[in-house]
This record gives sequence, structure tokens and C-alpha cells, in this order.
Amino acid sequence: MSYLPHEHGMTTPDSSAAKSLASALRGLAQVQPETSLWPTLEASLLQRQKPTRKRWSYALPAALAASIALFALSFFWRAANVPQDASATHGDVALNPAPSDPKAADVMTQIDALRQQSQVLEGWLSAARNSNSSARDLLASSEIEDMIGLVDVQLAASAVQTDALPLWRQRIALLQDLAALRYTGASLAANGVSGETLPASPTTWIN
Amino acid sequence: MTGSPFQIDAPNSLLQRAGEGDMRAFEQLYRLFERPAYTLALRMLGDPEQAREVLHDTMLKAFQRIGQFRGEAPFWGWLRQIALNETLMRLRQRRNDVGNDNELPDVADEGAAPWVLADAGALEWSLGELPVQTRSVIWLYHVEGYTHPEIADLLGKTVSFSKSQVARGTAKLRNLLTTETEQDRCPTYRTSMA
Repeated sequence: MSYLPHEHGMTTPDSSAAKSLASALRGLAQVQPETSLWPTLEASLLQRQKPTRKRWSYALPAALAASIALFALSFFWRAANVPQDASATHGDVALNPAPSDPKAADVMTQIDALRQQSQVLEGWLSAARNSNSSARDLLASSEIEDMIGLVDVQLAASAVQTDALPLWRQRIALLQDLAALRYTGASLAANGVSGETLPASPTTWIN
Repeated sequence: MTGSPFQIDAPNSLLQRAGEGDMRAFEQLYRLFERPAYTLALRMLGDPEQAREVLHDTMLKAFQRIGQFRGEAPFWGWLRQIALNETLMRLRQRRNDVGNDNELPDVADEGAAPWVLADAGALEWSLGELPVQTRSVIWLYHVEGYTHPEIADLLGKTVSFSKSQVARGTAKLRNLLTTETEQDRCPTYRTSMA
């Protein structure tokens, strides 16, 4: 790019006149708007940055908090996982008689373990109930509780252990989601953050 | 002769901070380039309101796309290209408003260059009297330092078009300024016109 407009074989004007015109035009004072546009620009930029900033500044700690909560619950469950009386079973679920074959016995053992884990989770959830719930979290909690109720209905209707095992696993997964949701709310409340600014979390159980 | 008014070196540290989304860095860049960007738009479009729009949209796009700036060329050149694109976009919207080319003289006056003696106000006024495309070509060529092929490319015209706009626009400026100067020098003329 040339800064000396003297070539190109123009018929007019002559070279020195062109140079002096360029010089005169460049000598004109630069102008600026009567009022600064920066405040408007800043507002526009902040508006566009807002969703991203919020998402990352809160979602990461929330996810971390949920992970810690699940880890703690898992640890707590292992500590409490001592042989218990058979009377500590879930009241809504059909009980099956002790199986005679080893495979059925293994399934029964797994179900017992899941049942105990469920009790631990339910105990923790009752203690952490709605500590700092946003409207969205309450809605999400309600949905999970409905889904747990649906699983319980299916468990009550299941005649054999092999049908009950995946349902118990599903129940545990839902309880863990609920626990993560409650723990996130409690953690945010402890840090003075409103749950209303966050997406309901965790988001994996919806859809 | 100095280069484009845009030729301002922005420190790498400032550009890096802006790339990281630092609002204060954006503000500093805005302050640095506010005048060149607004001046370019105002001189080419001749409309303060549209020039404000160009400045706003230029800065917004630059800040949003600053992550795409690779530092291979000067930042000012990158920013100027955005400002120019914004200006040309508005110029194309006013395609019908090119003025009357018949008003432009075909032959240049080879006399003394009146802009050497003219004051800034007279030069700004006469520039504003040019048809919008002529004024734009004059500004891009004489002030921003674009060549005729580059201007032709920017405007979607031929090189001959760019050359003829410069030649005829220069002649028109000469006429306007000569008339203005003569009026200044002749009080009786101004009185009779009043």
C-alpha cells in the first residue's frame, strides 16, 4: 500500500498538487463523537459476556461440590455398610424369599446392598431438605421425587429379583442426583450465592 | 508526510489483556482508536449519526472478534479494515446517493493549489460538498493511503473509476476552494450575495 499518491498516471492533478492535497487533508483535525460511545459499548460487551461468565464461575464450583458430596455419601455408605437386620428394608418394595441357587443369592445380595445405600441416601436427604432451593431446583427435585415414586411402584410390582435389581440401581442413581442437587444448593447458600442464578443441577437426569 | 491516522501502535500486553476479555483493556483500545475510526467514517459518509454507528459497530465487532486477531499484521490495520467495511456497507446502502457527476469538472485547473492556503474549515466544507463516493475515494487515496487497485476492489469498481474520481474530485475541490478564497478576499462580493 502506497502512502505517496504520486503515481498511476493521473491526467490531473499534477504530482505536487496531489501531494499537497494529501498533506492538507491529513492535516485536518481528527474528530470524535460529541458524547463518548464507551458507556454504551461497555454495556453491550458486559451483556454479551454475562451468560458465559456466570455459567463458568458458578457451574464449575457447583459441579465440584456435587462430586464431593457424592464421594462423601459413598464413603458414608461404606462406613455404614455393616450387616443389618432384615427388618431395615424399604417398606414400599416387595420382599422376595431367600433364593436357593447361587445366582439368585448374588442378586439378592446386590439388592440388599442397594437397599442399604438407599437408606443412607434417604437419611442424608431428609437432613438436607430444601436448604437453599431456587424455584428451578425445587421443580427439578419434585421431578426426581416423582421418578423415584414411579420406580417404587415398579419395584412393588416386580415379582422376581432380576427385575428388581435394575430398578434398585435406578432408584440409587435418582437419589444420588437428588443428593447432588440438595448439596449444591446448600453449598451455594453457605457461599452467599442465590440458586436462582444457576441452572438446575445436575442436568443429566432431565430428558 | 505522515501515514494513516490509524497508525497507532497498540502494546502487545494491552492486546493480550483484551483477548482475555479485560474490560479496561477494551476501554484503552477504544480511547486509542476512537478518533481515527470516527474520522474515517465521518469523512467518507459526511453524516455524524452514521459515523457514530460505524464507530460503535466497529468497536463491538473488533472486541468480539479480537480472539481472531493473530498479530501477523498491525492491530491498527486490522481495526481499520473493520471500520472501513462498516463504512462501505453504509455507503452501499446509499448507492443512489452518489451525487451528480456532471457537476465535476473534466479538466483539472493547473493553477496554484488553493488547499495550501485554505483554512481547515474551508477544506472541510469543500470536502463535504463532494458527492459521497468521490469524497470517499479522495479520502481513501490521499489520507488512508490506499492505491487505486485497492480502492477499486473495495468499492467494486474499476481502477479507472478510482482514478477518475480522484482527478475530478481534486478539480472540484480546487474550484470550490478557489471560489471560497475569492469570496473571502472580496468583501463586496459577500455583501452583494447577502
